[in-house]
Amino acid sequence: MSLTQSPQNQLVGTLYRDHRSWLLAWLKRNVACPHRAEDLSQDTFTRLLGREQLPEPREPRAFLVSVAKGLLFDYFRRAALEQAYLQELMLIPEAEQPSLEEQQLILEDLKAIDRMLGKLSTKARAAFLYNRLDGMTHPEIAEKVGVSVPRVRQYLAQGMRQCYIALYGEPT
Amino acid sequence: MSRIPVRPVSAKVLDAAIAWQLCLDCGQGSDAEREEFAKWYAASDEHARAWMQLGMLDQRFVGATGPARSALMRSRDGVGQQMRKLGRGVAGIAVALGLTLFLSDHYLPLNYWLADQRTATGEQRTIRLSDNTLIRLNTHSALDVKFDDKMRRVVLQEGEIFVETGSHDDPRPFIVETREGQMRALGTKFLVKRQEDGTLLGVLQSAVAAHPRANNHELILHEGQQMLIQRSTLGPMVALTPGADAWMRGMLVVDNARLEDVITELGRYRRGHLSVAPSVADLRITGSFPLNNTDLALKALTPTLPVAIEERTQWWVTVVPGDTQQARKL
Repeated sequence: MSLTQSPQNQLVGTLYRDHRSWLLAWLKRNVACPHRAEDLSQDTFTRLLGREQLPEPREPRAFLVSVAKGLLFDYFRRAALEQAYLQELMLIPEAEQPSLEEQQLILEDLKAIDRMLGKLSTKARAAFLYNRLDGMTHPEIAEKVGVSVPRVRQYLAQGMRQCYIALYGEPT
Repeated sequence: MSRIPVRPVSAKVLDAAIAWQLCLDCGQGSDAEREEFAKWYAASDEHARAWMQLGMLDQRFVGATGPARSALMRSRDGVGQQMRKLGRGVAGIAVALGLTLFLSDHYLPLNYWLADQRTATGEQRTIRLSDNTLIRLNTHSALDVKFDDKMRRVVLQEGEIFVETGSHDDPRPFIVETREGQMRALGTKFLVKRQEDGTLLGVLQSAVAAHPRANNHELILHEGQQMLIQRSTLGPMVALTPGADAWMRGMLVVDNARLEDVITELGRYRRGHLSVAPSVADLRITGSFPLNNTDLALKALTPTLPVAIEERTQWWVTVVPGDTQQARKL
């Protein structure tokens, strides 16, 4: 492997040198756990290295924050899911709770579903889940979500499309 | 578990598969639609693959019961707020992206399935809107009703309608819209049909003002006139085709029409493939045909024209030159 650095790597290197501690401070203000902030700051730069194109940003810090926000969004989502799951578990008798190992597997499944639905709006996501998880009919969902039946169909179509792309790739 | 091919299908096929899922979801969909679906499914391997892949989605959700289900339902509750604390951006962008992906022009066939009102192939239905306007939908047609304070708007997504406007005291203009243009009713009865080459407007009573989508050019059509509206132009005003509204009485009436045009028209009322051999496509025909029984309509061709009906299967019918058929019989 060649050791010469591409201009892109050099740019990431410069950003890292000049702004890493600033970004870390910003992340620590927004994430409770300092270790997590550390990870997220590393992930931000790793993600930049993976980009196919990287124009030199005019405002490096604003740019780094925008990338970090994408990662934060994923992180918040995963954390919220985990927390919600643990809270829901508390509501059922201990004897019926799955083992810790099973819990981990279920959580992985849940995270995978959540990733698939990543780009859906809150209402579209709710509509899709009511349909898939509860088998609700279109009019039932319409009433529950507070939109028209045609809008529900639109949401369901979006959901199916999202999931399809997540599992099999963009249609040709 | 059977192996599912991971290769994605074309956007068009995926759309059709999604449309079918929506149609057949929760036991909805008529017998006719289920039959039509079975044909679609069998028509190509790609269709079957898309259907199977979509079906596999459900596998992903089976584990999500009890606490897992509830967690998934509510897990987004606080996330939006957390993101807003960080300032504007990202979350909104992600959502907008998901939407535009979907609503681009490419996926328009879905509009039929997403419409407020639709008829299946071979079906006709009459609806009455809140302002007392009467609309009759012809075979395989779809429309959305969008009334608000300023306008009474009906969007014809596909197919053909007859409109008889209701309350003439209503100050809001009554407008039929298609992808090609807008038609403003001036107290009237008229026909609107979406064709491959544009929107055909025919006025049966009073007048309708028409303008194409791309500019403000406007023309007023009067009783007994028709016009083809395209995205940026209005076609010439010509006399209304005799029998243009005969479909409402279940008939197709033609006068010296090309056989191919007649066959195309009959095909709209019939599921499956119906075509005509090029060598007889230009034959001319005059007459009337029943639309609720297209088999009978096809049979009615044979005594008057040198053609035969070749029925490979119930779903695959071709009108061919008559003498070859006879030769085969001999």
